[in-house]
Amino acid sequence: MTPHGVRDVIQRFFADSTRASRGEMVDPLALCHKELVWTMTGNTPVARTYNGLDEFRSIIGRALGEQFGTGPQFGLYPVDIVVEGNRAAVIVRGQAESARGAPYNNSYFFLIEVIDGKLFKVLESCDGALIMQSVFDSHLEETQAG
Amino acid sequence: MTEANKKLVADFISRVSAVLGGMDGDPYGLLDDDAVLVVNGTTPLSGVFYGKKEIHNIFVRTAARRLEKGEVALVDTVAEGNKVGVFLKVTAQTRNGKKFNAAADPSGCMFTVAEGKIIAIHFFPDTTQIETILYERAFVSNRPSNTGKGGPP
Repeated sequence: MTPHGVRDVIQRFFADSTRASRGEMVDPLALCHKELVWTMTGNTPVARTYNGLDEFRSIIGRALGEQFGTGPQFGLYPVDIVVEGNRAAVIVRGQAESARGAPYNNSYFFLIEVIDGKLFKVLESCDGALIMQSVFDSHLEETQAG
Repeated sequence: MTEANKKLVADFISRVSAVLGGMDGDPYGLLDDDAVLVVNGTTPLSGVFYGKKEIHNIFVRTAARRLEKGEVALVDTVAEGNKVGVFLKVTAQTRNGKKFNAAADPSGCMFTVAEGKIIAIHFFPDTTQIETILYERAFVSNRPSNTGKGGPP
């Protein structure tokens, strides 16, 4: 697969995610490989490795539907796609709201491996503290130790 | 060009790790005077730092107040043109005796290089660890039915 092809798959994946976040009837995971391995780094309740598209769809796909709202201006926008071979380092800016209306404008760093025109392996970093506060409806408090 | 940029970034990371470990390293020697550091999130370490002096005087000094020593290891690299994307394992010991990133989880980072120097760094650290381990804060549920502290609902 050419670098142009890898870049195109990644752009289409985030375009599909954007359309889904706007309420269109689009499968945001249509460009994910059946044997997808997606790792969300960090220490949030969703941080772990998901093995296989079925597992990712049943846990994260469902959570996205339940924990996020849809809106005509929401979206995930890749701002930097660096391709080497069939892999890419990608910075993505997002604009969204949680299901209860809390702003969720996260920024993401992905390392994505593309096989057979689909996302095969994904390693994701983002602002986990924002996930805790916006999606999991919490706030930060000082502790005695701090 | 791309391979040279990869080597430059690897050298920078190894110098940062050396300094965090208490050894000589001079990572600033590989930064452009006007390099921009962006640290993702809204933690006390997050923000945009313009130029070597600001990176050192604000970001590094703020972090140093909480960090005793640390280590940075390069996990993976993808490069194209003047951009180098990496995943890093950043682990550290805090001044309060806690281990930052005990699980050695990787963090993403994008470098931009020009004329043999790093001109931009966009770092995506584990912001929950910065808040809870470095600054010893707790995420507390906003839901009245779940008043337990220290964890998500």
